Order: sequence, then C-alpha cells, then structure tokens
Amino acid sequence: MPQAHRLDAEQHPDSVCLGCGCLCDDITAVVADGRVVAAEHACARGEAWFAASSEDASPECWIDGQPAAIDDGLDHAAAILRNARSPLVTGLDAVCVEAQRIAVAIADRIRGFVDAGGLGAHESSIHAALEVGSVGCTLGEIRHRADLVLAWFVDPVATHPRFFERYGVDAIGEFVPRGRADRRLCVIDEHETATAAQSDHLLLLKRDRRLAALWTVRAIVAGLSLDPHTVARLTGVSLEQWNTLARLLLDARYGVILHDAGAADAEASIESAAILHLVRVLSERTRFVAAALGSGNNAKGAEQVLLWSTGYPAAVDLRGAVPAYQPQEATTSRLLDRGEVDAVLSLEGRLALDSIETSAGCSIVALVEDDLDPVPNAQVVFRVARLGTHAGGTVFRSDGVPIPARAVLPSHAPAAQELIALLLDRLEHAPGAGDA
Amino acid sequence: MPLALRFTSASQLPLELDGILPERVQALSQGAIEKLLIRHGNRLEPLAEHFAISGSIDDGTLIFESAMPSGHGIGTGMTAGVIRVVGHAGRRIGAQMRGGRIEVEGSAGDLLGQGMSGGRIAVTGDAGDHVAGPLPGSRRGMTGGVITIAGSVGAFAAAGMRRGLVAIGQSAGAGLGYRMIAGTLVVQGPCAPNPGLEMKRGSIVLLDRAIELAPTFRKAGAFRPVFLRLLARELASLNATIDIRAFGMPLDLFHGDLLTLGKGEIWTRAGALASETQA
Repeated sequence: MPQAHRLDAEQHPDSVCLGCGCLCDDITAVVADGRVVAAEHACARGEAWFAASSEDASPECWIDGQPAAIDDGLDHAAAILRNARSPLVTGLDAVCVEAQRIAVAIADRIRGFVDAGGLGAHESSIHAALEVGSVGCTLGEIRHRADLVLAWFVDPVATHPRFFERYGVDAIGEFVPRGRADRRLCVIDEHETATAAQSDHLLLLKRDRRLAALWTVRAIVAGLSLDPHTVARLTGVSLEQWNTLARLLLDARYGVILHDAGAADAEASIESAAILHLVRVLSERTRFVAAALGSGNNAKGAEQVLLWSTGYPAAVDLRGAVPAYQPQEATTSRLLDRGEVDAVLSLEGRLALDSIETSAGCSIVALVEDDLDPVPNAQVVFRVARLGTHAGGTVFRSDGVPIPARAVLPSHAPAAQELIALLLDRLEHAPGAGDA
Repeated sequence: MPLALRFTSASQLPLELDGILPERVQALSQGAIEKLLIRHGNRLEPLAEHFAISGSIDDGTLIFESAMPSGHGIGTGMTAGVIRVVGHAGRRIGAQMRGGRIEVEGSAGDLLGQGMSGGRIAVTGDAGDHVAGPLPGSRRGMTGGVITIAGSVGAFAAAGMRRGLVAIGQSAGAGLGYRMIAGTLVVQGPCAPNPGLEMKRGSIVLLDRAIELAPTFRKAGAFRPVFLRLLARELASLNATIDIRAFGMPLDLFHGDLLTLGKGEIWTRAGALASETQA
C-alpha cells in the first residue's frame, strides 16, 4: 500500500475494517475521488474490503424487480409484513447494533420470528455456552497474557491475517514481553495450513475424528488412563502425541483455544460444548480460555441485542404473549427449509438470494449493501449504505467488545438503521396498526 | 366412538395444536370444540377453520385422521385418554406429556416426547431430532414414560434423558444418549459413532454389529443380566420392533462416560466394537 497520497486526499484515522473478525480499528482510510484509495495498516484482506467501497448510482429501491421510490417501497414492505401470518426477521448479523434493535422491534410489532441469520453458522457456539457455560476473555487479554495458543481447526493466518500481530502469537504483551519468543503455538488441523507452518507443535487430525480427539485430551487432562491402541484407532494419532499436547496445555501459564463459531449440525454442537468442557478442566490446573475467531459480520451484536431485548440469544418466537426460545425450531435455516414462513424481512440481501429455492411462496423484503442486480426472488429490495465505509454504526467483535464503525464516504442511500426505522414507523402508524 | 378431526386446511404455516387434548374436549359439545382456538402462525383461529370434526369422545379417543406435517404440539401436556394420528405429524408430539397414550401411524417430526414425564408414545414410522429431549433451557429430558419408534430417529435421541424407556427399531443419528442422566434406551439398528457421550448413568442397549464408542468407555466384561431379560419381556409386551433374541445371549458391557460420573452402561453384541481392545 503506497504511503504517499494525493494532496486533496482526505484521511480518516481510526477507521474500522469489517473484512474479517479482527475488526481492526487502527486503519487510516484515505479517500479521494469518492472512494477509498488506500487503507493504511490494513492487511491484504482489509485493503480488498476497503477497495470494494466505490459509491454506486443504482436505484435505492426496487419493487418486483422494477426501480421505485423509497416511500413506495416502504408502503409495500409494510403491507407485506403487516399481513403476514408467519413472518421472519433475519439477517441481523449483517447490520449494526442500532439497526438490530429496530429489527427486533419490527419482529415484535408484526409478531413473528427473529433470528440472527447466517444460516446457522453461530448456533452451535451459542448452545454450547448455554449448556456448559464459557470461560472467555477479550482479545486484549490474549495479547497481554496468553503464552500458549491452540488453533483448533482454524487458520487465522489465512482468514484473520492481523490476528497474530494484534492479539495473538506475534504481539508484544505486558506479560509476554518478548512476543513470539514467549509464546507457543499449537495447531490441530486436517491439513498443513498457513498457521500450521508457523506452529511449534502440529497434529494432523481427520475432521471426523474431532470428537474422539477432544475426549482423549479431556481424559488425559482429567488424569484418566487410556488404552494406546484404542486412542490410535479412534483418532489416528498416537496416545504419546496426545500426552505431549496435554503436557503443553497444562504447562501453560495462560492458554487460549482458538476455534470457529461452528456449523449447525449435531457433531459441531457437541464439539463446541467439548471445547468449553476442556477449557473448564484445564482451568482447574491453570488459566485457560476459549475464543471464537468470528467473522466480519455482527453476529455477536445480534446475540447481544436479542439477549437484552427478548432474553434469548437467537431463534426467538415473538408470535405469542411472551418471547419463546426455540433453538431447535425457529432458526432461519430450519424455518426456510420447512417453508414455515410466509414473509421474510432479510437485513442481509444475500440470504434472500441463497434461499430462492426454499422460500417459494414466501414474500421477501430485503436490504442489500452491494450494487447488486435486483434480488430476483424478493418483492421489495432496498439498497442501504455500506456499513463501515458509507454508514456508521456499532458492531460487536467476537469477544463481545463493541466497536464504533464510522462512515468515511458519503452515500445517496440511507443507512440500514435509518431505513428500517422508517419501516417501523410505517408499521406503527398505518391504518389499523393498533390492532396488530 | 372416537372424536375424529380431519385436516382440511391447505396451509403449510405452523399450526399449534397443544390445547386439543382428550381430557379437555371430553366435557365440551361439538359446537364448543369447533370454537376452540388454535394458533395458526401469529393468529388465534377456531379449530373448525382447519379441521372437519365428527364423532364424539365417549371412549376417550381423539383421532387426527390425516397427515399434517405443519401440525405441532399434538398431545402437549396430555394426562389421560388416547390420541391417534393417522399419517405424518409435526413437531413436539407428546411434549410434557404426563399420561395417556399417543399412537402415530406414520412419522413424527422433531422433539417427540420433549420433556415427557409419563404415558406412552408409539410411532410406526420415523422420528426427527431430539426424541425424548429437554425443553429449551432445561438440562433434563424425558423423566418418565415409554416411547417406541419402529423406524429411525435423527440426532440427539434421548439426550439428557432422566428416566423412562425409549426403543428405536432402526437407526439413530449423532448425539445418541448425549448427556443422558438415567433411563433405558434400546436401538436395534446402526447408530452414529460416539453414543452416550457425557452420560452419567442409565443403560443404552445397541444391537447393531458395528459400534464405535469414545475412548472414555471401559469394557467391564460380557454378561447376561436379569434386567435385560425383564427388559426383553417389557419390549415384547409393547410390540416394540426390537429383536429380543439378542437379550438371551451374553452382551458386552462398557462403563462410561468416565469424564462425567462413569456410571452409565452401554451394552453391545459380543464383539460389536470395532476393536476388542477398548480399554
């Protein structure tokens, strides 16, 4: 990234990059000719994210695929949602906290389901935390204290390029003053990844052996004796290697297990819970935490907003007199797969695109940030300003720390929170709204 | 003569039938039954808008005469009487059931017998995920009663089960008996690897010939205990589709999950474990 910029370039220090779950907030965005021409301190992934920020001149609203005025779109969307018998508000993870709060109010108003979205990517970690409890920390604590990092089927060097520099292995911390020299990096993965190339200790493990491996490590740490042949057969790795890993974990002064948020299947759910159990048993002997790497979206924010608004972190049913938590029924993927909704307000337009096969017969109102063609299966589409470049708002990092993102570019389109506030207003003040 | 409800609605939206119970409709006239409110999506609507109602409930039997995959919560909180479902039905059948009997002549959706504490459920087809599981936010699954399923079940069958009997005639998915606290679970067919993870107590009988257990289960030996013969007699009386001849032979016993309490039992056919060297 060149450091010399045009004299008329405008610099925006402390900009936030939403390119990955690091949410780096030390970026200086350099704006010229209505676009971000440089992003100082950003990694290649971040540069690409900022580079995709040019202002577009596409319409701000479409109705049935035809450009329309926003007011008409709002009226149409409000009518769809008001008349729905089984509406779903989803895609909350794509917008800022301010928009999420209004989205929950809309779901309450139209008495429907509300879910973070992401088609289940975050479900297993939420359920695991509810089942087991979690020992977590901020990423800053990892930076300043962790002397052992175990990357469990994640590749942060590739997916979160600045994670090690800012929070993890390479960073100089208060209690790890020599940075990398004071830390050990253990990697367990199926392949030799970019992170594995930097590791001090690598175990290659087939993905379908994850549960057996976690149970093996937990058993060793708990002091149980295991049969070497059984362990080798079930995990494909010798008991001796697992003993070595367990010794490294127990010798750590402050250890962290990095994992991803997990899929929505049964094994991923058990795996997430087992990681938290492992952290719990390790914490009886030393200090250990688990940290999900997260992605560039605001899934954590959605979890927080749903919790403080409804009492539940996801898959909330607001059709009855009180909110109901239905994690096995009311997730976005299940509701769409089963065709159990007749209207969807998707704050993440891509979801509307992806669910085209499953949502037949269902009316869709979608918000899109990109300069997309009209979403083919949506009745009403609004183009909103892109969060982080064209619109500001609060996003939660994967460790639960709120980060204020600021707009660095002007936009013709409204911010998501402005648009759905207008939609909520339409729903509340339309004729007959009091009966809803 | 039973009270028959024939599903006449074309709607696929969720229809909550949790208030339609034999003990509740017994004291009602047909007109009052037709006016019972059920939740259809986000609205409350009269039962008659979705069902054609005929017969009376003199014998304590309520029949749902047609398939309705969108009908959920059948028999929720049921305490007495009989409900028959002819065809496939939706989720939460027999949830929080305390007594009576539910017969499903078809397949059932997820959450069959969720939080059930008594009574009997028999399914001639398959069942979805979370059979006999806990209510959201609860640690305990089924705390009593009997569930027999002739077909297969999805993931997390008998997860958190506390008491009672579940018999599965064919295969079971991942998470079988996960965090089981007590109770008895019998599976005739194949099950996904690692059944009984985190189980504290209880008995799981797996009659397939290839089983894979977690390393935290320890072989105790081969036995032919009296309780299995009693269980076989009980399964025969329930007409469960379980090959009870296997109960007459010595079965291998594994204790676990040693990471929790370790008082759980998994019984398998002799030599069914992929390796006889399981510790």
